[in-house]
Amino acid sequence: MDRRLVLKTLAAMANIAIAALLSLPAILYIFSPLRRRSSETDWIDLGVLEALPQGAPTLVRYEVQPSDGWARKARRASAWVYRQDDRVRVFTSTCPHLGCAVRWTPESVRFSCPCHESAFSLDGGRLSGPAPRSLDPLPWKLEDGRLYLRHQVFRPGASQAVPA
Amino acid sequence: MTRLTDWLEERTGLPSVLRKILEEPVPGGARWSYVLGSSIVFVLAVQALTGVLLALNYAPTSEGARASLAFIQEQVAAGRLLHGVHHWGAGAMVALVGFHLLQVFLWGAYRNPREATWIVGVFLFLTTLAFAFTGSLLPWDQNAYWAVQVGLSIVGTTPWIGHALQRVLQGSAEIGNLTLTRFYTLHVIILPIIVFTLLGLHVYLFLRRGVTPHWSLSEEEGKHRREPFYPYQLARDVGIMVLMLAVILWLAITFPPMLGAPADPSRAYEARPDWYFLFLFELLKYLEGPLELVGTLLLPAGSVLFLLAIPFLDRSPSRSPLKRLPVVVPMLVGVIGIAGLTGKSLLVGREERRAQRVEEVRRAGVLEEGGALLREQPCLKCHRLGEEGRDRGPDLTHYGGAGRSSEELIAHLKDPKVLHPNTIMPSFAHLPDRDLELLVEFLRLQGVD
Repeated sequence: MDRRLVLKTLAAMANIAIAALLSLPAILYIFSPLRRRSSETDWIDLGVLEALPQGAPTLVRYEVQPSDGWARKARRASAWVYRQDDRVRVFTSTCPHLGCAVRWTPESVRFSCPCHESAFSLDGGRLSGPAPRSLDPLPWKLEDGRLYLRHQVFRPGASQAVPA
Repeated sequence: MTRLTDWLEERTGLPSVLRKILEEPVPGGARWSYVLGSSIVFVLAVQALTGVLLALNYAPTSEGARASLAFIQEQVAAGRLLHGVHHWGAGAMVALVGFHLLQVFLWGAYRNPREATWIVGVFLFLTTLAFAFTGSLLPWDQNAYWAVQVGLSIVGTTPWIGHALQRVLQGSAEIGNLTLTRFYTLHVIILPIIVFTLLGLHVYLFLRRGVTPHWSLSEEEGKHRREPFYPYQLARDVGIMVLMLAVILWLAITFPPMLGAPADPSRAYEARPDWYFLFLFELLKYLEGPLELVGTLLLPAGSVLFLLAIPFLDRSPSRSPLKRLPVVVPMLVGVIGIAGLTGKSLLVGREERRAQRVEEVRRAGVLEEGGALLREQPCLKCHRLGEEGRDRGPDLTHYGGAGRSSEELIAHLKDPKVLHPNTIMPSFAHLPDRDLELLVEFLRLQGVD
């Protein structure tokens, strides 16, 4: 092997080593959001169940202790609670299509998404529009008459509810 | 002067480069149809300048973004104007780049030997759209938040890699601080590096082969009937720059961008993307189930691949659009489809959306100012509002007006004894009418969603 070839090979190898050395931490850094834990939170107190009206869904707004980077302030979120006698349904206010917040339209007795016009029934079932599934139920529990839920977000556009 | 020029020539060679550019022959002579390229460079420079100035006072955090932009608009000298110019300049960029692409297409200027110029141009077009999308989040108002929510969800529906891609762009499971810092970094560092690199390459490739004459002239004929760039083409280019600047300034002054209510993930909003993405937004309403992917992935990706492949698909010997139907027809269909969907989206329900937007802004203002006023006044010494206050008087948390009209409530605040003769509530008749109205508006919004 002549000297030129050796030098050329060494230079190429040094370049590859430098590139690998620099890009490894960069790649770990850029893709770090993939390693962050999922969005599920602790139980959040929504207050006394009896205080919620019967027969029509109520938008409950609550605060989630953030996993929003460095923020210390809670972030706001909302969910729908539908209560009829003993029956309680708690589901997300996020449209499973592309993530807009759905509205309750009492005139047509349905939830509608203001973005692409998907519609859902009183208990969150998919009625029409581009949404691939019903409004996602959220885990909830009753304790001493108080309603608690776990805040969760799900992947948009999937036919099954998969936590994001 | 000549000594300075000579010195510069000797040390840098730049004067002769400049001379070469100015004397660059324009095939077929100077024309108005050649001005689009240089006007894009001009508007890009305006965007870079106003962008740097905005960055001086902008904070990319969920707490600071909207507040800092409001600060720019309201308290920094010329802030509203510069924000307006950047906002409308962005729209102008998308429009001009779109027109430039169409013109180059119609002229057949992508053909041998200019394929590389065209391909770099397609990437510049995509970079422009990426600039527009990342920039649209930065005001962090309701529309910015929800439009980007939809945009990122579309990314998330890509098969296999969608979820990971959305996560990396979003920085977290939900849009927040980490999304803002990512979009900001893309918008002000990464995309500028990309755009200036590609633009340099694009202009270099363009200068290497020169402009393509109108399709009625062959390259040979174009070479015979040529004029130098300076002064005839330069004058036209400068004329268009002045016109572009005048239009952008007029738009920025007449229609300054309105900051909406602060981004609030818990409040529904009728999200709309900016006008250049409206066609996709409209299309997604009609595509259900597996067809969804047609709108979110197949059509956009297919269009880009088509654009990149045009120089290799077009094998016609003539540059006349009528003789290049295999590429002209799909392009025409695409343009008509985009125009139709955009038109429909813009025209249907325009008044309602405007009213809704005005209402959202008004409501946010009432909640903010009314809440401050209520806390200034002694109201909470007796009344409860959520976690604050005491329980001596009625709870105001879900008050919502209790079925009374605004006039009745104002009369009640002025003289509480009319409604309840034995009440201990003092009169607030000393407050200006404006404050009384604000308090009543605020109370009416309590418990109403």
